[in-house]
Amino acid sequence: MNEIALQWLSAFSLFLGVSFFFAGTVGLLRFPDTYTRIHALTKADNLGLGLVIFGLMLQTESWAVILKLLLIWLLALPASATTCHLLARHTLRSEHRTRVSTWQEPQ
Amino acid sequence: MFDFFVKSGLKRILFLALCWWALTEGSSAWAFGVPVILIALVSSFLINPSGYRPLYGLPRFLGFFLWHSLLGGIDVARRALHPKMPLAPAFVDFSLRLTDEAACVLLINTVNLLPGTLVAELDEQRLQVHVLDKGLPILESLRTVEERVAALFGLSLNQAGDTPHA
Repeated sequence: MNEIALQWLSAFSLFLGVSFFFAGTVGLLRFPDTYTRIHALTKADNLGLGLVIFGLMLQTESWAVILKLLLIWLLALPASATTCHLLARHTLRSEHRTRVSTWQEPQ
Repeated sequence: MFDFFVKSGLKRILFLALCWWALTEGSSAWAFGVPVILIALVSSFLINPSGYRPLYGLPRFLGFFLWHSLLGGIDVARRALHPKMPLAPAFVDFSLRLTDEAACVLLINTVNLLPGTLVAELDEQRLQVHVLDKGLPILESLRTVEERVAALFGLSLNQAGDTPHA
């Protein structure tokens, strides 16, 4: 693949990644309770991080840097999935699902 | 026994050296690297002396995982940016057939990254899953994840899946 196409693909991937971070942050601010906010943060940010890392991988020539970026992503994934589970569990144990069960869908 | 330690140790040293090479971005400062690798090797044997199970299903599982975390990210981004913010959060109970501890941890972490699901509590054999939209086919996708994880670890789910279809 030629150099310019690679650069464009990288830029596109970085831009897409940043938009997912943006969407995750919007979700954090707009969503109604702790659980839904955790949903927004973990899922959108993981995808965003994956895309940013993919975009950066395309820009480097060194295999070591590619592997390092991959390691960062592989460590961030379980860390964020575990953190979101712990946050949800703590919330559940401390507030006993009262808010969620009374939340009605708008007709 | 001795044979196992040599074999397993060599594999771990190779893996750790690869990590160090990546961390130093190829400049490979081995004067620091070798002691670090040795310390990591010792702690690796302290944490897990019995070796790791080979996971032949990993590429297939990784494909499944990547595709669904992509869907999960798009789904939640859409809900966040949508003017009406379509949410119908609820809790869903899910009875597990998996018993293996490592498999359960992987299951929880995978479910957390799937579209609209989040594990809030794990009792003995029951997950409490928080979902963003109760309209989604939650139980079906949870069953699929469970089967995928079981297949990855080479476990069988024979204890008749008494699915509580809520």
